[in-house]
Amino acid sequence: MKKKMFSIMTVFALMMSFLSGCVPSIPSTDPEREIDFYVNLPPTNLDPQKQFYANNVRIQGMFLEGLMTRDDKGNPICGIAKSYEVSEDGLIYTFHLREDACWDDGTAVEADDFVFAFQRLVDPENASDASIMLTDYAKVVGAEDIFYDGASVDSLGARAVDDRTLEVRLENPCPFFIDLLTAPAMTPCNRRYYYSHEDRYFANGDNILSCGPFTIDYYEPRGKQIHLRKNEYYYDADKVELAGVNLQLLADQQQLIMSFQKGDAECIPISGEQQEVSEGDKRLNEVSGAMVWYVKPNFNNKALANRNIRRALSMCVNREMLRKNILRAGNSVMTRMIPEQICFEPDGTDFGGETDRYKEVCGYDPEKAREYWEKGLEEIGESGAEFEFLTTSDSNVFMDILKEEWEKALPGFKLKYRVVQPNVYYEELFAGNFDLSLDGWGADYGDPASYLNLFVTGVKWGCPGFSSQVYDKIIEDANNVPLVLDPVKRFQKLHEAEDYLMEESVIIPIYCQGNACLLSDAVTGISFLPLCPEISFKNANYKKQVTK
Amino acid sequence: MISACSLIVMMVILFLLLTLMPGSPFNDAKLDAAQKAVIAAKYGLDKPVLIRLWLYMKNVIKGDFGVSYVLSRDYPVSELLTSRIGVSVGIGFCSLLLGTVVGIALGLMASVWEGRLPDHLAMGISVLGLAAPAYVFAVLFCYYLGFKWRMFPLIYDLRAPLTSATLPILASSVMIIAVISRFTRDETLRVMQSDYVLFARCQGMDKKTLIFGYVLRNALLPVVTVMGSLVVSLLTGTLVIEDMFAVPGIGSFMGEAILENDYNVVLALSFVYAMIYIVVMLGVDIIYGILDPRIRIAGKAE
Repeated sequence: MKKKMFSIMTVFALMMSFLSGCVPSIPSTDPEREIDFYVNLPPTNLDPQKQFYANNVRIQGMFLEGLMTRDDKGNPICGIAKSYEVSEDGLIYTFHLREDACWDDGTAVEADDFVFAFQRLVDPENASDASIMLTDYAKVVGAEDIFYDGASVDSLGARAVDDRTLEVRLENPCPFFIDLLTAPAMTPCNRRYYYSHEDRYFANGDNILSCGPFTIDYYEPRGKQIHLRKNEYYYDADKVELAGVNLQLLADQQQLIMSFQKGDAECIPISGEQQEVSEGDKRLNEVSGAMVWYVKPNFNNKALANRNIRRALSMCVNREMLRKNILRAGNSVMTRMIPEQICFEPDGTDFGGETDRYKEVCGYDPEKAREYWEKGLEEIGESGAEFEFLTTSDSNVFMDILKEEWEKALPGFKLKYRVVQPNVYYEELFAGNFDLSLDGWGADYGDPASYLNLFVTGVKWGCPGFSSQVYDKIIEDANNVPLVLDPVKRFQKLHEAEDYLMEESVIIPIYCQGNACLLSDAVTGISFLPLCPEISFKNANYKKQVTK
Repeated sequence: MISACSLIVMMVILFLLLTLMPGSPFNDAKLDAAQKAVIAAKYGLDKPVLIRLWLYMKNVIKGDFGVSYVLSRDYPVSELLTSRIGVSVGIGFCSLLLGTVVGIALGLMASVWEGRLPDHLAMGISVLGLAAPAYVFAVLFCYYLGFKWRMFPLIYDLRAPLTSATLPILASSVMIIAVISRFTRDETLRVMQSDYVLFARCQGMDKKTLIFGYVLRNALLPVVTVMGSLVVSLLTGTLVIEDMFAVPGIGSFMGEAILENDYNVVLALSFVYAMIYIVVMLGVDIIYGILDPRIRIAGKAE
């Protein structure tokens, strides 16, 4: 019997060694200075110059850093760049890099690393959708010719004056170029490292080079875990308290909640039905976002081309009730186009800070809505109107409530869904085959123009059939000399543009999508922002405590 | 030989079925027809089905399973799978082992004390294990072992692969324990009725030697047969468990690959599943031979 016991033990020992042998594992850092941060959003690709996708950008923002980064309020501040100068005409930017900026292998970050990164971004062979940053958002000299017409990447207007000085030339002045430089797509790429890891560059944890506060030491494509380790060579490494961050990318909500309550996880995302658990919990952390969801009307529809009818649709939406009962934590009510905390004017005021600025045209008032509705119908000579709503799913509580509110408040209003497959949704949307649709837009940089440019005539993301010379003129003025060189006047102009959009009820803003998470008291100093870097652990501090 | 043939036939059928599936791996909203054509040409998806099949089979024989189209563009499938297979096979193998050992022990206990408390207890466990899906036990284990008593992590953590594999192993072994213990009990009872057992007992052989030396050996034959099919249900059942504990294994990966039309990943995974099944069947045959020498000898005589 002793022998039998022994053999059973051997079998188990074998089993354990087998299990540990064939399973990859992460070398743990100092557990006292490592936090478990759960984000339920797996990235598809971490190469910053490859793919422009929200989930990727969020992870990239946690460990990479470019010329610029953001302070805890969201204002752009110097990162790898120590200082910069702009020529008087706003066309030439000269960046001076920090002497102590290093890659995580200890070699220095040089101006050429940025030149190479920018070249990769617009290289048609790389076919990155982030190229839009240098070809459209900011027009860097040569970028368009390279990306669309295949000119040599060497003709790009970015040049290393010396190892520590970078010069970027623009075709037009870009008032938010500095803000644009906070994006992960603008982080440097080391030429030598890239060519020695070409087909594996950033493909897994063994092939990642970072010059930001952290680097990645474990990552598998489509894996469920990413491990960040402090970059000891980071210029501000003394201030980075955390030794590592364990990112869990996909997990069951119930398991997440138990892990958090047990103390295994320091931060978990909260969504949907789990919100009741966290209601009233003071560890609930709501983060405003940059994604605005709005109902988009098709102006080719006779009824929707009428301003009073659009305004009626807007005024009978009870946004506060929707937020409280359906959308819940993290999301906020929108009655304008520009959300809070996206952009700050030169005197420090938040461009979108005044949230009830357009109360008169977006506030909840079903009776007034009805008046507008009847007036509008009279103007077009109809007694009712039927609309087709383009959607990808026919069972959406949010939409059902919206529909019910409209039908209740507006006599003669009819709405029917047209359900299409997700892969043809955008085709239909851009072709204008709808009357109404719910559309979302998130800013790619911290400037109101990121939202307002959508409604200029001819932009495919805008409202089909909407074309206003007045609006086009305002935006054109705001985006060109001389206003681009005068921020105060430019912001006035942008306010004017938003005023126009809202007064005309061109779109019906509903809510701004944010995030909510439960964050342990033991962690302080994580910065959450609506724009990239959305989550930064740079100043985070962790006091491990025994949970009761 | 037969196994190799069935593998190839399986791959061919699957390949043809996949091409019949609607959609393509590249259906990004932003791509226009010309761009799609360029991408399709790059991956050879523009060639006729039979030529693609021929090329694919040729590569597979060389050990090249192609690259992923969607899940991780251009990343070799074999590399995507190796790290995941380890975890899944490890957990599956361990729960099979644990389930078999505990199951046989329970079954023996039940048959020895037939009709008395241990029997009822063991069969109660077995009925429960068969009736409730693994998910229910997973939740129970999570709540008590993981949450209340804080013994194991609730979410699979690569920094501690052994402790975090415990709950998934326990959860998926319940079903195996249930099946094996029931079979062991019934088979042992059947063998106990046979003449040679009666004869041995008449001779005064003590119960322990009788059971472990003579009865068990015969009783285990059908149990081993069942194990083959158990492995299959274990493979398909891991999906739920893997999702729940966020195990980075192949179970959940298969689902993602099918949804996103990542042909190469689906094919390679099916290949792996078929391989595992064939290997287990082979193992079952070998164990037969060990347990009952008559099978081995009969085979040789032919």
